Amino acid sequence: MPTLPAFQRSLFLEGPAGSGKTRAVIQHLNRAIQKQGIAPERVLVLVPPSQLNIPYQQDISIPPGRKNPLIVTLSSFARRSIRRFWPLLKQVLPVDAAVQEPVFLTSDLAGYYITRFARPYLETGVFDGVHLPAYRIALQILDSINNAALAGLALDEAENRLIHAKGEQRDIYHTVIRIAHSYQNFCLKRGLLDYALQIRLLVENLLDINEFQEHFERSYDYLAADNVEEMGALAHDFIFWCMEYVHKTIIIYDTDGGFRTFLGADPAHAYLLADVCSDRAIWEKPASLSAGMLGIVEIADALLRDSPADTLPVISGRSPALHFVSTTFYPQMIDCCAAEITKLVHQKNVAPKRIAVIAPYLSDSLLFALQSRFDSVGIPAKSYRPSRPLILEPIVQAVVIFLRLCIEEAEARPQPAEVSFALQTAVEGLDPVRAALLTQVVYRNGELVGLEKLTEPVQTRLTESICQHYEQMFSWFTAHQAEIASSPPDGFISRFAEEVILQPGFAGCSDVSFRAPINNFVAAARSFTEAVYNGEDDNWTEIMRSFVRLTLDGLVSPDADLEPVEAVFIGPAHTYLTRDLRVDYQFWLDIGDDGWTERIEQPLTHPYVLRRGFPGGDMWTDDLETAAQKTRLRSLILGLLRRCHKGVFAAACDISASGYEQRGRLTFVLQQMFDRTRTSTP
Amino acid sequence: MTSLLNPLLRQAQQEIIHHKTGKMAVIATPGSGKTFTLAHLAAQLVGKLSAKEILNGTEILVVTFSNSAVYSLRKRIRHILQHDRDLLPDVGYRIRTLHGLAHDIVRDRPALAGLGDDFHILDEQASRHIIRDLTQAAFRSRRGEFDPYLATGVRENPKRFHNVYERQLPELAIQLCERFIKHCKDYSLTPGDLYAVPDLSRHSLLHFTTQIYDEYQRRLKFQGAVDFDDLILHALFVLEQNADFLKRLQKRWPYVLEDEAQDSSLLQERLLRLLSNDRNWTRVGDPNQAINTTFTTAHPRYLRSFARESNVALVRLHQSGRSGRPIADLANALIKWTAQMHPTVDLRHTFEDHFIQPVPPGDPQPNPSIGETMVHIHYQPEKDVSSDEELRLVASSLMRWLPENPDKTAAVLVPENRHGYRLLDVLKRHNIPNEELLQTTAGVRLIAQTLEIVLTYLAEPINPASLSRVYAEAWRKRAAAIEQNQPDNEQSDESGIKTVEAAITRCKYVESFLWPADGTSWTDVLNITSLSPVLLRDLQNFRLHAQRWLRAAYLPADQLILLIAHDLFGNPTDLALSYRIALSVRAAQQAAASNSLGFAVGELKAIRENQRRFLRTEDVIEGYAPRPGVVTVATMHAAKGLEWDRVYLLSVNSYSFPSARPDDVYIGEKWFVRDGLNIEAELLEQTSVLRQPFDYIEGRATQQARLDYAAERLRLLYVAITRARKELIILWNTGHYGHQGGPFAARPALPLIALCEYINGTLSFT
Repeated sequence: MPTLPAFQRSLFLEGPAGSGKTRAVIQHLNRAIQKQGIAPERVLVLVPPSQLNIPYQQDISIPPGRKNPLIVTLSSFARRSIRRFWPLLKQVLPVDAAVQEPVFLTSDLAGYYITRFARPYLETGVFDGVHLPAYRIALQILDSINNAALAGLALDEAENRLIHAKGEQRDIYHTVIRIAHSYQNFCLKRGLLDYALQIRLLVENLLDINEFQEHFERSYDYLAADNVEEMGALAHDFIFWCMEYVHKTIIIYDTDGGFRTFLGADPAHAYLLADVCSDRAIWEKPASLSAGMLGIVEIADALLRDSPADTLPVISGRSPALHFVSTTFYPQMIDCCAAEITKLVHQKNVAPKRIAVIAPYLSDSLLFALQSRFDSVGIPAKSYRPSRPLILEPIVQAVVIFLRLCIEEAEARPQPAEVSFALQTAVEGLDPVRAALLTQVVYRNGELVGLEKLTEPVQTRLTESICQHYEQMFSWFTAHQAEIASSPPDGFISRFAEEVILQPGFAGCSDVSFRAPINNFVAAARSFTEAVYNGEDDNWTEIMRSFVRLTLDGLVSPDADLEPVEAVFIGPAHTYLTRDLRVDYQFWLDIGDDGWTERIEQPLTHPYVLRRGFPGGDMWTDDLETAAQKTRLRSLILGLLRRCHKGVFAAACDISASGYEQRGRLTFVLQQMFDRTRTSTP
Repeated sequence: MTSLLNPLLRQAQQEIIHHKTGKMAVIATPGSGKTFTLAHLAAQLVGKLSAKEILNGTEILVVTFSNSAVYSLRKRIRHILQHDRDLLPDVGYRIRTLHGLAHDIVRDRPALAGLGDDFHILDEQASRHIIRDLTQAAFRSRRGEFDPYLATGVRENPKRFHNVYERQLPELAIQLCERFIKHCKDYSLTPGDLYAVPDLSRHSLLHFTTQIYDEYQRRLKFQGAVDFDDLILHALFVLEQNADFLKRLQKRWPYVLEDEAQDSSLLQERLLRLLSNDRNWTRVGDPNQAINTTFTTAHPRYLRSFARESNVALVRLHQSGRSGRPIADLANALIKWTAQMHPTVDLRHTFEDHFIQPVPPGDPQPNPSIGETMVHIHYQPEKDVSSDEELRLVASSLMRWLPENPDKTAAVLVPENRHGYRLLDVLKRHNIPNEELLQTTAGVRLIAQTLEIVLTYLAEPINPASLSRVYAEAWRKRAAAIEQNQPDNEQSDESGIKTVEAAITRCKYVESFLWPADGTSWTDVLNITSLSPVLLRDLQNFRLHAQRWLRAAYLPADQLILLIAHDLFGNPTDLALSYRIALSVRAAQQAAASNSLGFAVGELKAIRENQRRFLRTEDVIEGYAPRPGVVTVATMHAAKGLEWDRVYLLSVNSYSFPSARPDDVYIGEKWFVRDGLNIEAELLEQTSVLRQPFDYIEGRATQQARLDYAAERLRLLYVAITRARKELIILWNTGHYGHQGGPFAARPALPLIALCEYINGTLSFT
């Protein structure tokens, strides 16, 4: 394993994924802690939001009696600091005096509020040329706010840039920024701090406060900032500021990274940090790849650099690590990949967690198709989707159906099939046929009724235990339904979960997999209540209704699931890369899909134009778009290949799921790569 | 690499593939090898691209009319590149339909069209669902707006009145809205443009349909979706508004080749003119085969006027080796008769004077000899042939011919799908092997039906009869297919299966069979005593699957369908079809904003009943190739591009092939609409005031629609005739209402009579 070179005050370490940078930094920190007596709690590790904190959490050795280092993202550091220095911050901010504590908005809640501010403008027709549903328009405005914050741009500067970059849509961007201003003013006044406000307050306000500076100086000696290319310019400003106060700084830069560009990452700006470091080291090659994979990486690297065809390398004398799975139809492709994976696991003893199935998008259908194939051969698999809405979890769906029974007007009450599903999910041992029968008996005119008038034959059919548990649940609702109007949503849901769903005889008691979604749902309800409740209004039913609608719209998502498990990874390329995962075998599904080459632009925002270095007043031309796409493709392909130790199976189908012929740029590059490996295969 | 002087190519074809740069029009007769030549031209141009251009993604762009044409062209080009030129088979070219091309363009920069990067495309049926929903809702409260168009007699008969208002008019309203929206998009008319029509509310229908169009667009926006026609408009918009993006695409596609250019529309021409930068653009087609013009902006005039442009090289491919001389002569006779003798003078310009010539001796694709060629027109003056009789005649002819000609191919071509389905029944009754190229194939229907049966049960799980149907008609069919493929399969236990089926139907409580309560056994519940161990195991397996499907019933319909399909269907084609059915059902659900199983069942039923269009999955792989000994049943439209040794043309009557005569009956003129108006044509005409300043005069559009339709049907007949290589048999019938006689009965089409006279030698041309 390579080790860090000696350096004076600061080191800028760059190299491709897999070259051992993070491990070397951990080793260096361990040595500093063990041998130089550095206090681990005086080490600040800054990482981009993802799973990248795990190696630091797991591998930094803490001497007995010492505290852990602080391993944080910029926003989590901002939240800690804002909470601590809130009284001081309040003095310089236009916050209502009555606000005692800040409330940190989750992205769901920020979405909820921005939608409220955008709605009146949607009626005016200004967004008629934008073919997006209302909530997506609102979320794109939020993206603009976040991107501007990450770049440290004022909202008016963002407006100016968007207008010039996109040409003739002055009214639209003017409106976007008007909405952004109104939303941000509202939030600030009430101490509701979304992601953009959190990081802005840290860098633009707190860093100037003497007390904070002294506190920081007292707290930290060492700074390690990993994957700085995945952070925005504001984070780089923060790192630069920190360097003044700590004794040693290590900055890690991943060559060809920048997978969070969509979320405001600015690799070019990150690279400027090299100029302010006292020392610099460049590591060239991934250390852990097989010879076959190294050959593939080399070809891909040359191809994606536009090297002349006759200078491209070819693989000679090695078995290729790149395999093509080519089928006509989409389901065939899924079957072929599942069969290959089965072979790897059952015949070649590859651990499921050493395999990743990567797709441009992870649709429900694809996920379901894959999952059921893996289930049938007993291979554990886990899907990772950013922001999978909680409403897709069966137990949350069931709870929401029960809530709708309590709060909705008659015409919006659930359908019998929904009630049947909710009963079947909630009551342990209730099969779908008896659930349908039970629904027929107890669901009348949009309301649940008791079983008092149940005839004996039907009771026998339903079984005694089912009847008993239904009665138990029905009695609970009868006794507590009125409390919806008098208690906060999270309280009611949590009570229902604890007193019914998690009790013996109900699904949550025996099926532990139901607990996490329920807990997440309660937590989401709590955040929603905290943010929405204004201290005066006690119309809890209306708040519950809003929360239920938000959930039904798919806008309530759990926090990212960061736990690694012993299972095949199924997820989009973006998730795989931002989590910096490594496996032995990757399966790239549907390589012809255009989704592999991400599009940069969105109708209402633009992560590149809102980067700090983009010249304000310039147009975003097609040449820029093409160049950016090319860079993205390069970083995607190399990023994936460098995170795969033994082999890649690239799967293509002639006809996409929706019946289109596939012709994405990834296919084209892979065909060229394959041609260069095939030529020399004996 | 082979010589550029390919011995398989005729001189005119060589000329085409050696064309260096600039614009070229190729006008080709049926069977003259235009697609073959186009494939060679594409391969030739791909071969000229440098390695660097290939690496940079430069491609030859080929645009054609239908998906099946895409697949067949791709197959040819792949073959030439791989085998004749030793090049990578899939690199350096792109073949697209117009919609596919528009999709590529918009996908590249969706934001330029105001779309999110995850925009989705509504397929035809999802879009129809939305229009149907909106129209039905509006019609309920505003049906009075149709009153001015109703025939006077409608109100006088209460039964008839009820029928019109409850069934016919709502369906007509839906159809009008569908066509209207498409028409407006073809002419780039937005709802805003239409609202600007002075006194819009004076035109009640235009007002009604404009509002539906407006609401439809809002619904699409709400879903973040576009329909097929929007795609083309968006593509044009982004290219016209973004010069640098256009420049990039022009560089990416330095040559644009267009097949079937006679079916090119206004928008297609605009788009390709932009992309080709009016430079290297080759358009190949035959104006005499333009059969997709009715109520579209497609028209052969675009190809004709392109061919006349000063800087366009015009090449004509006259020589065709497909048909025997008498068949080619008959096709030429149709052109001449129309031009010289058609009783409706306005139709005499239907065809271009472009005649089929035989190939010279020694040609690689020689014409069948005169001796092996035969033409027969089944027509005797004053002797009517009913629709059933026509089908019987064809069936008995085939029963005689097939055994004598086991190595030859045959097709029966019909003008409409409905007659084709009836023919299939007759062929089935007579055990005549057949395959179909109709709207929905038997494979799709069967799969949709099986899935419908299962989902029907899942929507009502306590119904034993429904579960029994799942067992008999879904589960056992699958088991039978598996058993058939096993070498040592035993004779299936039919009586045992019947016993199980009856026992499930009798089973009072389904739950006690599927999930028996503690202490009871499911076999006791069914009360079956003597069942073979094999069938018992199978029944247990069925129970487990039924449980699995019931537990999965909460899943979105597409996922549920996939799960069931995976359990029931084994081969990849069936699974692929199921996948597409699943997506189609899901799209329809999204469009209708309904997640219920009942809705999904309805959608499957619609597919089973041929109300939905599905591409044949097997054609996607290989392109359709007729098989000897198996009769193809196809619409005349679907037969384009194909050929058979023997061809029967059915229903060549005055209804399917009208001649714009006063006594003809037209599909577009409804009996309940006053003054014989073609209400659709009239409505679309009303939008014309936005394009050109003139006054709307009622009835004029109806007359024009008759002419357009009659002209297109003449061309369709020409296409159908030229599908035959050696033997051609043309029949007619008195139509669906022929038994009612009088004005309801169809007559032989005028061209049929003329061609018959031509064969008999009583008609000649200058």
